[in-house]
Amino acid sequence: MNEELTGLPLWMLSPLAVVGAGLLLSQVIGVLMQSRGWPKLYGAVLAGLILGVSGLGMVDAALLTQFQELFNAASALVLFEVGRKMDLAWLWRSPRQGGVLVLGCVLRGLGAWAILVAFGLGWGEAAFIAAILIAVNPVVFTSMVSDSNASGVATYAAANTVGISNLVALLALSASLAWMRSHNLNAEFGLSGELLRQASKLALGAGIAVVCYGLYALATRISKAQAGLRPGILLAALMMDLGLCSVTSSSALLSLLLMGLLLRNVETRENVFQAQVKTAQDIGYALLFMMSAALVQVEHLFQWMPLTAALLVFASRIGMTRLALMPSGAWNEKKKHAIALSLCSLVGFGSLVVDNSMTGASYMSEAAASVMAALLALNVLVGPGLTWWGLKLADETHEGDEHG
Amino acid sequence: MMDERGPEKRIVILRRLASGEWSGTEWRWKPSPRAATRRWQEGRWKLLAERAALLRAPSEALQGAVETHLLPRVLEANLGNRVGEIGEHGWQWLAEGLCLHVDALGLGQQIMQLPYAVDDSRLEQRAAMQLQLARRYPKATWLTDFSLIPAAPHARGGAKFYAVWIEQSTLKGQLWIPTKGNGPLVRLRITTALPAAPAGQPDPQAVARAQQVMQRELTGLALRWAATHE
Repeated sequence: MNEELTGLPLWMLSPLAVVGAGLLLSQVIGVLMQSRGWPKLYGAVLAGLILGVSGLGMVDAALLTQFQELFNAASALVLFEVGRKMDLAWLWRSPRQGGVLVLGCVLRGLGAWAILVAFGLGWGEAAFIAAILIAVNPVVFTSMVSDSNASGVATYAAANTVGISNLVALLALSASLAWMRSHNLNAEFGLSGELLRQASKLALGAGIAVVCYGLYALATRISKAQAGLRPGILLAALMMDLGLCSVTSSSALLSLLLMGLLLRNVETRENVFQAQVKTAQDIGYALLFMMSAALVQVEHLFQWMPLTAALLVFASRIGMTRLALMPSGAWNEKKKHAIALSLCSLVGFGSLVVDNSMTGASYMSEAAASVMAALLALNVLVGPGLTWWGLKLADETHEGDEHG
Repeated sequence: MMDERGPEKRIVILRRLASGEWSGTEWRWKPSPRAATRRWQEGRWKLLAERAALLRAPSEALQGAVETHLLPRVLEANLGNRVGEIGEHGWQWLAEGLCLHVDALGLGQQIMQLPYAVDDSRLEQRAAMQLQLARRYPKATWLTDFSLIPAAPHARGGAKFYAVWIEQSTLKGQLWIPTKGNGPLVRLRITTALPAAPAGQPDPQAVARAQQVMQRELTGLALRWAATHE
């Protein structure tokens, strides 16, 4: 047994050192690309492809398992930020805009489902994948907004949509999971029992968010911490939230979005607060995207059936979002194109359950899994670029402003 | 012991009587070439096999939850044709030179950290279980941390967990099997004494081998459970 393990030097086997090296490479390439006017996130894409399973094979699923909690914590930070960018008051005041954004989510799901069924996938598994595809990737969107320093009406609407889409996707996924699990070989309950179980997971997630938010509020009040010092307390509260959700396998996504939403109301001095969390978030983006790029198996893009299905689904998601925006008069044509493009990125199953080690493979046949793999590969390669282009098209980026 | 592989079938019963003496009984059956006779013989043989099986299952196991009856059956199927002893002190059998002993078996209440569906099991939950175990047995050396027994992605059956540790030169392995719905949690612990080395500390190679045997037995039992009950 020992002979097989002598191939790699010990320093290349330390998971922490390998993740550190990946992060370093991501940052270096990212900063170099940014100085040439390219999105910084592509640094993480390139580093991931070089070190990942399609490249040197130093960052893979085995390594991910060792550092699962680290990656989940990074996801928690991103999801919390998405929740904080959701403005319920705005959605309440402008129901028409809110309505078209929700319609976009529904149409994205339906479009993806129709295409997947047309490609011969089972109705159930197509619905399962389509539910996941409703969601917009929070890492891609928030990191692109942060990198290009974008702000404006289109960015604002899109940022709200990221949160809404993840919530709608979560609800659709819960329903689809209930159906799949009640018709599974190892079914425990009937459809109503499974629906009840999924609903209780969501409720428990929301309950945990309220408890953790309460603890955060209490801690800041007792210590009388200033805005600049609160992110430390926040990170602790987020860690507790994620841990409690994981150990009870309740919905961490809902919980973290809710934490963000609740905090939006309490942290009025946003700029101070934001500046303190930013570095941690930047590392989180690079880490998460490096990891997803590392897991991309490029060979999935060389099989014509999965690739064609993935390309069609990818294009249809942008088309459907654009179609849903038609009835609204709040944005001009260019802004609408921009919103649709900036919402093109998608997520995997692991992202919706905030556990990157879960792929949902047991709910999918081999054909469905290969389409999903092609979609994720496409997302990593094209998603950040299109999102970046969308933000540019909206003319709301202020790149380099902070440097004077 | 039942041996029905060859042309001649055998049932051997080895019992220790209350007086401390051993009694051995063997039946052999060579099926008759005549179909009608063979059918009659088959009926008689089946009756005999059923009565013999009753001796193997302790009578108290026939009461209580369904899972309680299934445990001895799973142990019996796992034993197969190997040498074993079933008595008042539980089950003992020989596996690759190690004498394994069922230390504890029984049903407990379902706990949240151990969901039935494999897809619901999270690393955080297993970490919580390992934490609990490490605190319960602070002097133990953990050879296999509390973990999910690997299974094929679309396999029939739910999640099953195991852990292997050493406590005072005894190797212990435990199996946790959550059941469907709100059913009970099945627990089964196997122990074996480690061969003592001259220096007093167990030989690392013997420990590694014993750990492998223990893992194989626990995995085998988990698979048997899935095959007979799920």
